[in-house]
Amino acid sequence: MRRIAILISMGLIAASGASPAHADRPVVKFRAWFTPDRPGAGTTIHLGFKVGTESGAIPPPVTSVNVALPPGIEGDPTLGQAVCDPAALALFGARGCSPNAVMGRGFAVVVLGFGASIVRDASELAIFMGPPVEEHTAMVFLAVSKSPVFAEVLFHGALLPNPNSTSGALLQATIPLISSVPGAPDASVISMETTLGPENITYYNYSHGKRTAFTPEGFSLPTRCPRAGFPFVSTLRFADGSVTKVKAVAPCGVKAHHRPRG
Amino acid sequence: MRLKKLSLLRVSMLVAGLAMAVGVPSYGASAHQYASAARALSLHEIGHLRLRSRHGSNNLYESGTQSGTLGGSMSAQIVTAYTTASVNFTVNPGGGSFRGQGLVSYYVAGNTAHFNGKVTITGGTGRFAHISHSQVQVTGAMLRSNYAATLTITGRVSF
Repeated sequence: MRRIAILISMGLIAASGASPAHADRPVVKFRAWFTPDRPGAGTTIHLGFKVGTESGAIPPPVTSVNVALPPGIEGDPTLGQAVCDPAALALFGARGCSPNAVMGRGFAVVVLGFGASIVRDASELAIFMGPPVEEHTAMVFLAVSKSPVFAEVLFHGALLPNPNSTSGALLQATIPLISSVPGAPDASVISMETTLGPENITYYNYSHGKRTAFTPEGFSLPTRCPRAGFPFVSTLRFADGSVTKVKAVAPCGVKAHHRPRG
Repeated sequence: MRLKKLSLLRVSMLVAGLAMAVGVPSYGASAHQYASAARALSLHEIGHLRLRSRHGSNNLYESGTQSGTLGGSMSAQIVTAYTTASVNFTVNPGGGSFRGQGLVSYYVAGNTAHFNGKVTITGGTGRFAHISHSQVQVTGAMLRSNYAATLTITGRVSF
């Protein structure tokens, strides 16, 4: 993983030695939804997190996210038709991997404390199919931020059997600590949204010297959606040792004006 | 009278011979006709399968030729989930067939999906009618672009 490279010339570092500490119990809001969400559709799963604290202080850094994916939507997604080498991703960024390895996109916002100043940093997120790990489907996440600091952070994930359920699976991601300047706390994620599915993803086929673009297949919503929607459960672990478990329900087949707002 | 007895003896011998040939019990047939020693076999069957049909997007029906210990043909229904796949197969080497089913692990690496796990032989027909309900290992790989699959079944059975 790469550390954040701080652009000192931007004058974001405060002279004061005091820095906002991570305090309080983390509070997480979690959303899950599908696009499209009509029964029988091939779909993209959206996952959204907002992290805060009870007092409004900067939350501690997230170190891992587990999302229990519900059964019934597995389908046969053709996401990740190429394997991305994490070393190539680290060296060359997204250009180091085939576009056919992309499985999802999103964004993350982190906060960095510089003395009494707090800086928000927005990153684009991309999920790539990674080399399998111990006979499990694996993913590599790349977060790229360009302003106000330049940073590329790689972290890893996997699709594992859910030990608490005979069906469904656990989407697990381990997030490294992101250092800022010496003496300042590590950066903290305060919001993250990501997709897993074909939305905004284009793959390419090469045949007889011609390149053809196509969209991979996503997950499959059943032809009859459960009235209660699909439950997602997420467990976030933080650098201070705290653990937060949150639930969300992704509606299916509900009309647009009845969809829950985030 | 003696001629009649000899004729009856010849007929009896003919009937017994015919009975032995077709496996029909005849008076005085020895027990070994039924309790023929169970044959043990180390299976190593490799199915070269093509997609024949799909039900939904993850319920695949495949069939093709097989090579290995027995040869013949193989068909399989494979239902994939996030991390597991349910595999129901039928092996048809001629003279009968046998089938098995079970849940195996499933993972994906690029354009190839992989299967690995133990399944149970559930029964057979013809010469495999009394096949042992053994556990056998199933490993496989499937191209996600066209669902062409290779399924390998290994293990010891008796029948």
